[in-house]
Amino acid sequence: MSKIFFDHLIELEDIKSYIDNAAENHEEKEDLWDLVDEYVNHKVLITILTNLDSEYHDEFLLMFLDKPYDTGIIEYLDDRLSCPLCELIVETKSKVNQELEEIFKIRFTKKALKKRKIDS
Amino acid sequence: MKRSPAQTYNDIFKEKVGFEYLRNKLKLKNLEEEERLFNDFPKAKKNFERKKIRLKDIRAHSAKLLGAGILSGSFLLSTPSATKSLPEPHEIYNYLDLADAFKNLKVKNQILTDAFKKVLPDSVRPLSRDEEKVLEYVIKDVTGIPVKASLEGEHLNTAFGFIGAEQHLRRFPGDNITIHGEDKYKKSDLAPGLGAWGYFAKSKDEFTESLAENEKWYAVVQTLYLPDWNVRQPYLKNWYKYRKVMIINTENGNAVVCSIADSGPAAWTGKHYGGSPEVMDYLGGVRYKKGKVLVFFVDDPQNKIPLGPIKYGDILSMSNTTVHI
Repeated sequence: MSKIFFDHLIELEDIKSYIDNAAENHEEKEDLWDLVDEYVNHKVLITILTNLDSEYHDEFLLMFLDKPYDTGIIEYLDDRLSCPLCELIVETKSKVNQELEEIFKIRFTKKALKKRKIDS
Repeated sequence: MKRSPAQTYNDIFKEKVGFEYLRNKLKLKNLEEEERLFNDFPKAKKNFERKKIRLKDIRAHSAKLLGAGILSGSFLLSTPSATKSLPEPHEIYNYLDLADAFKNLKVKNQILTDAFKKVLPDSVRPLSRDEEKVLEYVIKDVTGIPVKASLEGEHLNTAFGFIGAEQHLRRFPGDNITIHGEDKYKKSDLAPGLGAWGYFAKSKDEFTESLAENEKWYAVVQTLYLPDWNVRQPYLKNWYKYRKVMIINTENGNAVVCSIADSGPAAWTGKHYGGSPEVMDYLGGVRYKKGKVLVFFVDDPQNKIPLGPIKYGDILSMSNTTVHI
């Protein structure tokens, strides 16, 4: 089983195709997936802690570390944040998408993509 | 001008630097973010250290906790509202309706979807063992095919989740889209890389009809997130290769028996499974790109159940009589 409570709020479909084109084999693909996953988790956690009153930090972190999959954490956060978590994450998702695209676009210019298509 | 063999290293270098560059860049970004997290929020550092968990390992940590919950038969959701009170077997559907369905007087899909409404939660999440058992029973009753959430001790990440459309997989070296199935599926194109198990055959000559069916009706499941994936190799990789699963669209009851031929999708895609263009078409039509599905292993030790859509008219058996929860 694998689940983080905010998984369903994050969808980075565009990044998937960049990785599909960048990886030479499945192991490389999974390696990049994991790194993107770690990046997303950092960003979301920072967003939550930035917007959550510090008096709740310990409580939230304990809940997260004890049951990272528990979607009940969303209700807990929604009661304590100034706006619902799903709205906060929309903004984070957009920033993450933009930052990751910048990284992936450096490697894959149109010329390189064309070359890959011809080779295959 | 033809290049000497000694010059071809340029191509290899260019390709490998691409992956290594991305990997290093992402690693660096993650280190920066971790530093920012722990500098700005010292309580976060303290809590992670106390629990001896690193954020990079949080998914594996979650997988272990959920896996333990499934094994012990208890489900670990803290919110009571997240679980429905499960119906008794005789409340799932009227057996007279099922008998009518077997005589083609009623639509079986409808019986299945009505049953799902009584058992499944509103939003996707891993199911409890009790929920899985009820569903195993219902699916076998209606389709005649025995399915299991846990088979030979193996359990998928979740039996209830979102499926997304995948591209065709390369079946053998030199395979291309022009020789790849029906025209209506060619616009899905070939995936740039190979599936998790590589080519289906080493050459076109070794490519059989059975392997063609495996690719045509292939499913993608998140083996990479299984809690013990990295420690039980090569057993798990061999066990999952071409393992039969039944995928059911919970909205319309359409069901397909598929063969696992790739690993994924990544957790941040918002999906839990993938299906070939043919699988997706059968589940929801050619424009169906994402939807809620159930995925169960097909219990077929003698390899008698064919891959492909479930024909609701061809019921193999109706042997369920009681459900044991």
